[in-house]
Amino acid sequence: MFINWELRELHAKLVYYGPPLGGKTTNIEQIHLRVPEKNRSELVSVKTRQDRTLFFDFMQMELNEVNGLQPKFKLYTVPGQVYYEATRKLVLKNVDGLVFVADSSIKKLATNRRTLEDMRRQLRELGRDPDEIPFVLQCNKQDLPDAVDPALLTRFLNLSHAQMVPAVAVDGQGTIETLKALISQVIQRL
Amino acid sequence: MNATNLHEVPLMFTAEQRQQMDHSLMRLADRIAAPLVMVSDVSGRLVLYRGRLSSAQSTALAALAAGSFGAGVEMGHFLGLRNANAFRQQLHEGAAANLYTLAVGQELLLIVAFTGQTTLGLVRVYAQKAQKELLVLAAVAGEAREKAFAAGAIKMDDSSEDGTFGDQVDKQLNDLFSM
Repeated sequence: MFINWELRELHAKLVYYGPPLGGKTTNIEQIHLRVPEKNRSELVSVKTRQDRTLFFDFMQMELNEVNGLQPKFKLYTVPGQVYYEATRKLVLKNVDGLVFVADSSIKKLATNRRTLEDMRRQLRELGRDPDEIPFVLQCNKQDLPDAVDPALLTRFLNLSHAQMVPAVAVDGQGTIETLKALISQVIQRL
Repeated sequence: MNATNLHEVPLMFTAEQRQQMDHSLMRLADRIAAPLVMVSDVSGRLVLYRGRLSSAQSTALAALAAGSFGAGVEMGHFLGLRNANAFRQQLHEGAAANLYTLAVGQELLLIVAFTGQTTLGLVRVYAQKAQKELLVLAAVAGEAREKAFAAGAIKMDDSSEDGTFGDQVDKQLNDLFSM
């Protein structure tokens, strides 16, 4: 996060990380739908032919001036598939806040844990302490018949200390709460 | 704001430096009839742009160009190209327009769109001239950043009559999503 005093702007980079097909892009799409046009950029998606995220999704959300500063939040997703590790690491550079979009299906428990461990390792490789970065766990896909209880999933991922939001991103449920919770943490760092 | 690591603090330019940067970009755009020239940092934060795109479009373009450039550098790593040997320029070539990206030191990128009216050779020559001017500005901004960081001078006043910065941001977010 940085403040450009000349332009009176505050910039923060927020990244949505998580296992493949967990709903990262859906989160950004739902946010983009709900932010008035004057407060947001276009939603840019670099996708494969199969409509999967190849590089990242990106949008910027702007607020009005606060104490003479205009906050600008850049939202990124990372591609979830295993072989895009190098791309994920690129997107994590200079991150100011992280959402981990977990897939609540009981079949995805191990994938969630492995992806979380990958994220923490990549952050350390970038010289960052994962525990020092504002973080929200989103337990997505709570509408699935085999969805694990959010509290249980949180414990399974050893994230009992983290802020958690249950969600059904495809319906927009929990997406705004997640974003607000993360921004709140990021701003507290000021 | 107090950053814990100098490298987490991006380069910031004074009004005078931004004006000089603007002159460099305008000169470059004039010489090669470029519809768009911009400077971003390697993380994709737009610093300054001149051209026919809206601010929102330029912001997105800067993020994509920086991502693409970063991917190129990573590709170079697999070929053993690191540090001084790393890729420093990138070209996206199309039938009607092209996009040329040139690294400016370690932290900035110069991104230039040009059409078939201009040759790539000419773009390279003039972009490198602009690069030299931008390097000087980046060096001065880098020194200022180091001094400010050492003095712990990167702080902000977080209170006003309407509450703290955080309170006001929360209120705006609530208003924004209640529309």
